[in-house]
Amino acid sequence: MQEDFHYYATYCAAFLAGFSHEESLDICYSAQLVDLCSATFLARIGAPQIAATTQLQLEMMEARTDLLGLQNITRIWASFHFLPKDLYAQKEKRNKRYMNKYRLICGPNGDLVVDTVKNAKDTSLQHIGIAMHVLADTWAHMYFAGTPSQVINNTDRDFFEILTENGSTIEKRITFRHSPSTPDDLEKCLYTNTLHQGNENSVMNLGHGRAGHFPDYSFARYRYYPSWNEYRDVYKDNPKDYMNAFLQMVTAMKYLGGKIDNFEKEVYDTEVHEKYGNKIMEILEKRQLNACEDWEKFGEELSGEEIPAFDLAKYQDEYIKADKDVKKDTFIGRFINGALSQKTMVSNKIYQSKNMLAGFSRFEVRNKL
Amino acid sequence: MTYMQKFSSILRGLITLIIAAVMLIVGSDSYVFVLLLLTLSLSISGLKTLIYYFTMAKYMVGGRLVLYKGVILVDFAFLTFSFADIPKVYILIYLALVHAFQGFVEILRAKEAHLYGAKSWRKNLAHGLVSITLAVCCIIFVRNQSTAVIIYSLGLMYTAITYIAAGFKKTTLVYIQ
Amino acid sequence: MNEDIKVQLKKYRTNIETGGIVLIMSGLWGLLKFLMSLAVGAQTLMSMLDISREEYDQLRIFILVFLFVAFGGILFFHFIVGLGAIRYAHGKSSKTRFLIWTILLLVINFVCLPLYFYPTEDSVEDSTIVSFFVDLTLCICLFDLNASTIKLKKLLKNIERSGK
Repeated sequence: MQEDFHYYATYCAAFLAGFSHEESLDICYSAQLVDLCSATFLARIGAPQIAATTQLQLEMMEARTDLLGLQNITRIWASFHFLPKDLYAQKEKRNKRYMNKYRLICGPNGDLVVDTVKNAKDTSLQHIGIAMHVLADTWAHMYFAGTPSQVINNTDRDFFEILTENGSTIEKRITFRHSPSTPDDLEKCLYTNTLHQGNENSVMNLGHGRAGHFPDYSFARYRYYPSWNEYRDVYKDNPKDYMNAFLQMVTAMKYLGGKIDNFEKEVYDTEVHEKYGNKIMEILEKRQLNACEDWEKFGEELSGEEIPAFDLAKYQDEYIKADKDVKKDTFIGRFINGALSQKTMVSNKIYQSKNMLAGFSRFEVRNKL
Repeated sequence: MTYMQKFSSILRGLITLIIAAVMLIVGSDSYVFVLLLLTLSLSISGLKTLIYYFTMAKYMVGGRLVLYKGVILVDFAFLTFSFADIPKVYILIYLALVHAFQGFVEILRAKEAHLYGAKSWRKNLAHGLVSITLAVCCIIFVRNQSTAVIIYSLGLMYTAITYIAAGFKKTTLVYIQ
Repeated sequence: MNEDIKVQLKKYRTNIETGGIVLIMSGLWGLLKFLMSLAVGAQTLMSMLDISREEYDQLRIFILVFLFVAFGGILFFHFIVGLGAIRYAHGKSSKTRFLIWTILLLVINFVCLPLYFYPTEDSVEDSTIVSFFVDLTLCICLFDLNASTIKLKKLLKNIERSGK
């Protein structure tokens, strides 16, 4: 998902879940920060790079893909962007090496999503924001894994967008090209993706790189053949999935805000759906590269307050100027704590499932900073 | 980089340096040794690809291509091995061409890195240009074998120094428990 | 459409496409190997054709032109047949004319396989075993391509019939 959902839509969901305007801003800022909190960013503000929640493209280009490098990549991407759905999935006639990667395939309503939400209970707004980012991404990034793997994440030329033209449904083949600086062209179905690499552990085969940015568009409905699915295609309906993501975020934040007692899988807020479902679906289905404006308008209608644009530099000074012993109480300090907690929890769960792709993990850590 | 990765980089550099030194001392007789190393490297690469196919890529959509790629790599390895008992001048040309190809791949990597804004593009481009230049010089001086040996050894030394430098470069060690 | 049929369609098309690519690559690789063996290997044209130096000097231009045309033709043949298979796999063409040639290639390659076990005096032995496996793999690939093409044709006919 992109800024329109992680920032503005998360604000809307937080407000609808009962958080105040200021609290919703903190939550949605943290949710968006997950996509920008790289080692480079942390190094610049003098924060521990261990708390990185993403890797920039240029960091990826320089990342090593030996065992330790792969573990570092997997820890970040599986913990924050491609939360595994079923760490104990079974598949016949596959060896351990294959299954380790297969079990990291992302999907919604897995046990780890519940763990992620519950891990954020009674912590901080920043941690809630991180949890919402992770939850939302399980819907957008399903069928891909947060580890470099050709046999899981590769796609082929049979990638079709499902469009409605003049009342009828048509399939249009998507053309992927490798041109990172050129924006995607919706009219011609021309999208950028990563270069095909025959190497299993190449970073080009990480996550949904082979499908480019396409899975992050809320309007996209598409059909393709995942590498792991034995020549079966999958149909992805982003408007419907993103709606579920939104409603599930509301439920999760109601739980985190104390309005409901428990958070369970496959529970979506019906109240919000009845009241705002049509409006939200209108935003999700609108064919545009960026829906920030529409979500911002919706959010401001809900709260009656102005939602400032996301500013990465907003809390940097507070963190840089704070003394060492009070850094943990700054905005970024609390974000770092939340990130470490999430990363450790997921890495530990992966390790406990006897999967070494996220490395060795001894115990869960909370409030480490 | 972790300590293990740094150690491995430095070790690789030292081994390459030793091979370069041996080539300089032994002279043109060392070609065969280098050719054997190349054969070994290609064979391992081919076998790894075949193992990858049978353990992983077999289940992938369009995975058969991996099998064929592995077979060609092994064939290429043995083709290289068959050149061991031919006049040395031809071995040198062959090694120079392989080096030139590697240089070309480095330049492509540099182009890729530049597209993404990674700083490593300069390093990759430098490696690529040096490899190709050395290969061209080897072919130009191929009749004067001792000169060609020196040029090729210098190329190996340059590669060795880059590995060692990478091992000593300051990087942050990241741990999570 | 039935899920199993969709899976079969996709599988056969992928196999045919792979076969087409391998056919093109094998033509290129064969030519490259031959040129490398001549340029850098132990064999020479003279030893291959079993002619003396004087005979070679007299016939050199003719031999080179013949080789150029022959290899160019073989390469072109591989390319056209392989491309035909790829186009069929992509649904851009419904013609299966390439099938005749791929079956012929399969038969020729398969029949020549036992010759690896009867090496001649001048043959280079170092890479013989590997070359045998390469040709065997090519046979498997061609067999797969042919089988997939025939099965795909049958499947498409059945779909058309059940559609009517």
